[in-house]
Amino acid sequence: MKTNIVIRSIVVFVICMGMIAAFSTTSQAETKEPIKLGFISPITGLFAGTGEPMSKGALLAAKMINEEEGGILGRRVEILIRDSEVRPAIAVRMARELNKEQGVKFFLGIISSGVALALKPVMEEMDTLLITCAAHSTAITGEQFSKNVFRITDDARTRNYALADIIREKFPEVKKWANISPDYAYGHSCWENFSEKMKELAPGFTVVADRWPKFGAGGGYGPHISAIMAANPDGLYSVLYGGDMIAFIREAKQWGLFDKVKVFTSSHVDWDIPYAVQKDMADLWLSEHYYDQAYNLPLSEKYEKAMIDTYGKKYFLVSQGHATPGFDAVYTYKAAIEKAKSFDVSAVRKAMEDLTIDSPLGKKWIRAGDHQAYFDMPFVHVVLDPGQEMGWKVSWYTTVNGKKYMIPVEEALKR
Amino acid sequence: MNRENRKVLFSVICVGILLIICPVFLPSFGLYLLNEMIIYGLFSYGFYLLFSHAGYLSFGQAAYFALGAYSVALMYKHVTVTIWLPFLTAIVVTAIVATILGFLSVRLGALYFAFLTLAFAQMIYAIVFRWRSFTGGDDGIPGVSRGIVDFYVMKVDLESPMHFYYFTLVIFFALTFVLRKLVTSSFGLTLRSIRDNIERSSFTGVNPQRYLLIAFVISSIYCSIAGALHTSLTKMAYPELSYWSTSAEPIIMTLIGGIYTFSGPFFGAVIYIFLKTYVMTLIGNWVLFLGVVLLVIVLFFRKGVMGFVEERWGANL
Amino acid sequence: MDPGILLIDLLNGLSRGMLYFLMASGLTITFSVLRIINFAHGSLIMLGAYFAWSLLQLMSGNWAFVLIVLLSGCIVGVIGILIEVFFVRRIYSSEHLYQLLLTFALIMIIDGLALEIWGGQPRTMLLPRFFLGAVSIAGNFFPKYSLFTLFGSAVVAVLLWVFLYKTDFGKASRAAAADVEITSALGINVPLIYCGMFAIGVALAGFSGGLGLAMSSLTPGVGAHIAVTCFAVIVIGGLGSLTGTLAAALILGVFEAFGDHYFPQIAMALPFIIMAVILLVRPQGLLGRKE
Repeated sequence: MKTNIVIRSIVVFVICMGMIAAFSTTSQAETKEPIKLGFISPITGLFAGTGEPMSKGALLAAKMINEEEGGILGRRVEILIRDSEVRPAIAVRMARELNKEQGVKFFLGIISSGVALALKPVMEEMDTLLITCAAHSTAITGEQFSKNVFRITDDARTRNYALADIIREKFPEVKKWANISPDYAYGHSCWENFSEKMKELAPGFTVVADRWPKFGAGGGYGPHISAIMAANPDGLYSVLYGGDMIAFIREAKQWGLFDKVKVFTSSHVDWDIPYAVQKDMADLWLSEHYYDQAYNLPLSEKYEKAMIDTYGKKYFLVSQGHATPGFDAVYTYKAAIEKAKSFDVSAVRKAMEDLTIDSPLGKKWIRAGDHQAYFDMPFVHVVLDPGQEMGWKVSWYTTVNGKKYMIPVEEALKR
Repeated sequence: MNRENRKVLFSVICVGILLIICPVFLPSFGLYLLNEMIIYGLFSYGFYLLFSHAGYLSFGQAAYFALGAYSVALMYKHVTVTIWLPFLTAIVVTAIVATILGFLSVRLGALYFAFLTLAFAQMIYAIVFRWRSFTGGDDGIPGVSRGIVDFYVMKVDLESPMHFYYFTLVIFFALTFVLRKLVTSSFGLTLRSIRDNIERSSFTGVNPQRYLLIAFVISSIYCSIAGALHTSLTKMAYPELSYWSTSAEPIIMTLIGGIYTFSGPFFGAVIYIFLKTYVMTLIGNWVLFLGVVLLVIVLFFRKGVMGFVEERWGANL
Repeated sequence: MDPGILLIDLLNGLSRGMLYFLMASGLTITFSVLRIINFAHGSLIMLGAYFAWSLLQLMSGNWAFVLIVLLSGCIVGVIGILIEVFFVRRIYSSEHLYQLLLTFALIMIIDGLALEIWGGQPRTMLLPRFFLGAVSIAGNFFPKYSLFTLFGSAVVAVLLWVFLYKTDFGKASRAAAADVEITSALGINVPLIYCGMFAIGVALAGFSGGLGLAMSSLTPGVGAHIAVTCFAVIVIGGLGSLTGTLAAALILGVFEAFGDHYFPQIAMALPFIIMAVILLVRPQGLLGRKE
């Protein structure tokens, strides 16, 4: 009787110890082990078209570093990929798991500003570094600045100020604007900056329609489009992206919205959207993370060739936008670690401040005060062309350097 | 105390001791997971009281989870970082909302009750989502503090994972103990009689609506405290906390653990989170896996894991 | 306020409403005959859309599209038969909770399989030219496809009525919904009715997915929000009443269209506010029977 209890208690105890043992996986000693970089982005869901290519860019960088450049300080680079599904809760969980289970101290990726902001306290708690590869909200290197977070792409203010300048120059007569953007940090940050700059440039700038559909709605934009059309805007601005933008363009096309406005512009449209929408594409003035025709440096050619050789030309053309920051982030870690001659987080962080790296887009410089990168950003005009297989083509492009819009650090940290 | 009860008491003490000494040798991610399990265990206990004892299935307990989370997150951000006032706010807000909504809901039959709880949870989701200036909208509230326990003679900062774990554990032990006393008391008995036959119980002079309302409010407070702890653990609050997918989690956890067993909700939470963490990284298609597990349980293992163990042991867990 | 725009909003609402009816009708049928709330309904709608997408890769052409939408409904209907025979059948006599949980498990299984089969990238259906573009109504534009959805759903609604009131099977199923014991005693094959009506309810879901999600971006998981809206519709209309579902769907569609346009702040909460109000004031729904 008594032994029964004892035996049963021991069994329970052993099972519990077993579970605890399963929790504690061996943490590798940092000798000549590969250096693990944690990559977190949406690989599935409405925004998979952004996260999945980014992972491919990062993997290519790792491959090139390992095979042609002898690794980073002699250690191989290993990219551990986790799917965030654009949900902060999942991304945070993945970050913790990568750090605790796999010993990852250097993170990259992140599409959504919401996720980036949620990861900030976690990065600080774990004292790990994060290079965001797409999240644009100014807060990330502004109001919510963190010494653990860096941004290798541009921010909403720089991109939108440059865009506003271009649009103003090309369409000086357009004053009445409508906006439809996703209702979260990124959408608001982009529109605020665009309209701010436009107001400064164009006296008489008015907003006739201001629509904020739920981020990730993926459809159902009819009433919004109806409202916009009723307001008779001359210009249309939208930073919907991924599956949202694909659905919006298709629906708005049916309503004939694009025939009614003089200009349709967005500070960020990924290449996967025109390739998905094809003949339903709209005339659009956009910016992206990369456009192969706009950059002709040796590294640009090398990068493009490597991407095409590894993944195929079609894949490269569709995914070049998000693949490139992923590629850049890995090389940024390499440059910083080599500059610091160490894998220690504080040393690497210090090295990353005021760092200049070579990228397919030319030189990228990371300012120490706000951890924000400044470089040549691409701007493109996509027009309809029934003669093309895809139904559209690029009729104009240019690059603008972010430094042109740089503001002093104290001011930047308030945004 | 008879033989069975002694066995059970011994096991409970064993588990309790295990939970207390765990942090010493668990790696930090393991501690984080265990902490999460305890919080979800509490959430599941909230559901368990309402369903297994009162017989009312609610698809909207996530609403209170979210209310607790946002109350604490907002209080920490704007008012004070010591835990007393924020937690009190969470409890009071939840009690008020639950009393009102519960009063309206318990008059309906079980099916309509379920739908109404769902409707309210979705409404709270929509309000939290659109009230951007107050709740942060889709971005939620990042950087929520872990809180500081101020005993006047000393202050304990809960920022350290170990401190926060014990904080959660103490609350969990206390609330589970209270729940145990509640369900084994005459209150629990009355609830179960209402669950079994509401008409007949009213003939014995019981006012079923009043008992159901009390159970509903208590259940909601448990869910709310779980939400408050969750937001501190993850350091964020977001609208999805009120979405019906969050309501589904305690239901699934309780089912896995054993829907009519007292230890069911806690062990269900442990198993669910354990699987979720490791399946996600190993297999990837967690959704499919969970669906199959749930299907198997619904068809073949209705009593859940602890129910199964209970049968083998012949004891009342 | 421009009356032309109001008319467009109304048409938008009706088109959405008819689609909601189509989506929710399957749920109503399943409940009224089998007394089961099929939680997996949203996932089945998504499944229909995915099948339509796949079929569109194989065929093209105007009539082909109509055929594809019908076919995707049928394929999902067949899956419905399998689900009924292998799973749902086992739990008819169980507690409500297990019925709900079974269909809940099915949500995850279907969504998980969709992820495996069609992948995580968003999918878009490229429709034939005929369905694209807009018509001019009172000086404003209205998308052709929305009109197509409106009329297509209306046609199906009429067919559904004919089926339920004019065919033997339909009449028998209505009898089984009213009183299953007597129906069985009259020698009618109730298990067959159950299986058939479940399949039809599911087929309606698949069909509505193919029709309704053609302009949206498809990802696994797109069914979750649709399901919850369908629940709102059937509760507002009255569980088990098809006419109620129609009324509720149209009301909700119109309210949402106007809401999204003029009052976006509350539009998100609207279906649930109405749902809550109905449950509190008139729980049996607009046209449901008091049980």
